[in-house]
Amino acid sequence: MPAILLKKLPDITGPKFTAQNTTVRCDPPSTTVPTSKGTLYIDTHQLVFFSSQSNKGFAIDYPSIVIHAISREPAEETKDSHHIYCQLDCQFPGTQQNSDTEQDGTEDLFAELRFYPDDKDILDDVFAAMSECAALNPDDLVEVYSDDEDLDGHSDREVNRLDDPSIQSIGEFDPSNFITSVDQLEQLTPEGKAVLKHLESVIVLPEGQENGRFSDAEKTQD
Amino acid sequence: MLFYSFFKTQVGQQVTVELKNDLAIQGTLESVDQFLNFKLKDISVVDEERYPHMISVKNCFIRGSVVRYVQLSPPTVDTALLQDAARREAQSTQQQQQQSKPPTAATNTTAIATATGSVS
Repeated sequence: MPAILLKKLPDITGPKFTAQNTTVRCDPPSTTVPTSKGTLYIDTHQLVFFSSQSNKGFAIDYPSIVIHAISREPAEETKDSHHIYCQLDCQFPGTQQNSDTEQDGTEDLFAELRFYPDDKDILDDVFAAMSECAALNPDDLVEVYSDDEDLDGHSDREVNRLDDPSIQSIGEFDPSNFITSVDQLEQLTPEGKAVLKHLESVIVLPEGQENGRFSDAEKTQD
Repeated sequence: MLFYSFFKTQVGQQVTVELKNDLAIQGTLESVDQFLNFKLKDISVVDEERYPHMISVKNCFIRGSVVRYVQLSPPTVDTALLQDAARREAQSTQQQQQQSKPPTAATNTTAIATATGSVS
């Protein structure tokens, strides 16, 4: 949810900055935006505006705030109009559908919010706090790493094969069952003895070669 | 991270940031962070008729995820260096992926060898 309407002030976990006595305006106009002054909380998770006077407000996730900026008229006499400008990537809830924009064909789903704090000296602090919180809330990295996912997905399958229980059950390793000396031959099952007898009849090692059979290979390596 | 490093070299230069909603903002690049969020100063909106309210905005923060293009002034960009850096980054990414594969295969072979030994 890009913008959530609030009927009571939510828990503000860690506000970076709080702007009291702030008026908010929305363009295109929305009936749900509080008309009375309220407080703007630049919380680490979302931007919250709440007017205790009219008992309503709203919260916006940072990824929905496309641009935020300080708007200043150059002339000193227009200082009252200085404000924080935000452009959202969505329409504000309760926006009155203007017939002009529909006929226009350019139905851009966006809204502009303006925050006018009474104290104009805090505008820079609000801007800095919003910039910091925007960086704290990056978008999901789904698109950015889509290329890597394909390659990783391939290697993941190989890793999963190791966890395959069927391989584990075949490969149970118990050295105590191995026969390592002649006197253990009695432990062999009748089938085992038959297999051993057959193997001994087919494998004939030439005399004197048992120890020297790899001597050639070592020489060629040198 | 390559483009983060690259855009850091553009700090102080005139850029035009084109957003996915077709808004284009020209200004001096003040800072950029690892998410490619841009801070611009002395800005002007290219299509002022469409966004009249932004005339009085002098500096702004643009969320990196909404940027479509960044237009740079050609003399400030060393394209040969950028190409070389991009090539090297692609290579090192490839190497990392290849390096991660052989150990997996080796472990597999060991598992199979153990299995064969036990059966016979």
